[in-house]
Amino acid sequence: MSALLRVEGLVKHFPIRKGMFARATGAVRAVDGVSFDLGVGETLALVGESGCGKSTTGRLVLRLIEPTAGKIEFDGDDLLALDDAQMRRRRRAMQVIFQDPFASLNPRMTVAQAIGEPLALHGLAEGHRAQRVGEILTLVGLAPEHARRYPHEFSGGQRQRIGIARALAVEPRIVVCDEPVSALDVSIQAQVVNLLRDLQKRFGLSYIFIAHDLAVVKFIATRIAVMYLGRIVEQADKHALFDEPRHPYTQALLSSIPIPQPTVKRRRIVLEGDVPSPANPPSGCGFRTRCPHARPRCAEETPPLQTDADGHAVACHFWRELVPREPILPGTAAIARNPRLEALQAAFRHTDAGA
Amino acid sequence: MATLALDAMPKEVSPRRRALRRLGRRPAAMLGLAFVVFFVLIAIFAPWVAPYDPLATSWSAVRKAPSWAHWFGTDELGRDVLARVIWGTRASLLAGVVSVSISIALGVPIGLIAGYTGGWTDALISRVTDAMLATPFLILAIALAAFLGPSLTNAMIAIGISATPILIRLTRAQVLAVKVEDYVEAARALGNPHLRIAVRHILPNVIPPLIVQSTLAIAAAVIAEASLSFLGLGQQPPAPSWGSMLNTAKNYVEQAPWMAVWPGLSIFLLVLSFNLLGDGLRDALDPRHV
Repeated sequence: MSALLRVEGLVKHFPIRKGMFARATGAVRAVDGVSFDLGVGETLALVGESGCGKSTTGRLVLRLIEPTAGKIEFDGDDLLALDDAQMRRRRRAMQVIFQDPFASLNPRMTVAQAIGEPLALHGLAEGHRAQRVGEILTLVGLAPEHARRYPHEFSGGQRQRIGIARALAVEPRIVVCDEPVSALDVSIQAQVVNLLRDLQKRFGLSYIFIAHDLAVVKFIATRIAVMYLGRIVEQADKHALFDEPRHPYTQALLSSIPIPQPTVKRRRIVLEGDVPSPANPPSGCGFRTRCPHARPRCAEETPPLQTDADGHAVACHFWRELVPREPILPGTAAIARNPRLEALQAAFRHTDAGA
Repeated sequence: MATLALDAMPKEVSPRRRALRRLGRRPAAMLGLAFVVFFVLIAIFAPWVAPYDPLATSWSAVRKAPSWAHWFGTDELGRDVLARVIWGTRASLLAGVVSVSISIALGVPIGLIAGYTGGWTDALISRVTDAMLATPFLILAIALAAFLGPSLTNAMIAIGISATPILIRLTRAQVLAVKVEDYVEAARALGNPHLRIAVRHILPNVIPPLIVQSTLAIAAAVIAEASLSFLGLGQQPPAPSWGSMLNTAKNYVEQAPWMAVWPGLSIFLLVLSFNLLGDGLRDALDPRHV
């Protein structure tokens, strides 16, 4: 499949300035050589801890911040070669949904203005803009009458729907979703994730889905890239990654997912210490300071991200030796049937249907 | 569905209307507003309200104490003090409003450019602003007024320029705070050009503190105009202004205290009411009071 978006060796170093003449004395390596492809209708999830560079990667792809090095190719065009005006026109194809629905809407613009603005900027729906705004609102589960209102009159979930409507108004092909549900209540999260998936199916959208909640990622992603300290340490198809995590960091992440089965015994991998500072990353493999399997070679040589025949990529010298003896996530077969739990679940399903 | 919850809500309210509603609940601010409106009406209708011609001298009524004929008394040339205070309102209000308008017209765009573009432009603008702020406001205004020559117009220009650095700094600080908001990044992602982001997305969100500052700056400008006139750099005699009235009155404080009391009281009241209004606006426009 030919990729809609191709990112190669993306790097962003933020200089650290000190002293009187603001000399750069070092750099925060927020993103340090990230490459991935994104196909039409695909969802690539970027997961990792806070500060691993996943949001920065999203902003770099949209050129909201300028990369230090690397290549971004969209639909065959080199995005970084475009000038200001060309880039503004190209933005129609690439939109973003933000994490905090309270910060992402201008408090002094009505919903109609917020959604109408991108239409006006790109010359869409001339002559029937108000009607189009109503259609878009309906599409995200709001009513056309809401167009006259201001953001402060909506709840968090509704505001996130407005944010989605604004992004979709220009009929983009790629949407960067920067933790779009982590600021919402769990009950609202499901609604918004379902909405995102429906819209994807309907319009053939491609998503870059930035998240740290692996349960959400498992639901929406087609492929997953695990980031650590500005690099992708493992990238694979969703099922391959959940079934057979190869990188020790991915294994630790998966072992931390809560499962709704209190009786199941599982091995937790608990990482010690903190993520090293991206201003002063360790030599060799970035993960070696917290890796339970680290060996001398890990400090000397940075493991490259190597892809096997199935497209499963991992950046670890020793992953072949680290296959866990038991599955990290219990498969559905491994979970014993629990009649009491099933009765409880059934009861909730009934009230749901009745309401 | 999500639409149900909203149907019961009242008609949509804009942020501006909410702020005005909150302002209406503050008695001190409303008192300030009432006095400001009162002074504005006096200034507009001065020719009809004033009992005498403010320039008409009378040798038979020099420095007369307040009486039924002259409520506020008369001055050293026999002019009616009430009429002069009423006409002086024009000079004071004009000086306040015009000079602050000048400083807004200069300060807001410069502050917006400094805050939005950053880099060398910002460094240059900020250093010049710092240098101007290092000089006390009134000293700077006096120096500029003396340089431009004594007249009410020049006094207003001098006060306006002297009040500009504060507005530049305030605007710049607000822009720095707003430009990192998600909705500004969203505006960029949607394909807005820089000018439109600055004017449509950032400017409306930095205005509330500027309104407050402007109200307080009008109060300061009224005092500055009175000070300049007191020093002979503002309104020129015989045209009345509160400051120049005080200037003459200082020679007769013991014999004719009413000459000083009324213009002094007027300055005090006008400045106080602008300050009360400004404080009220600051509270009403604070986004944390939702």
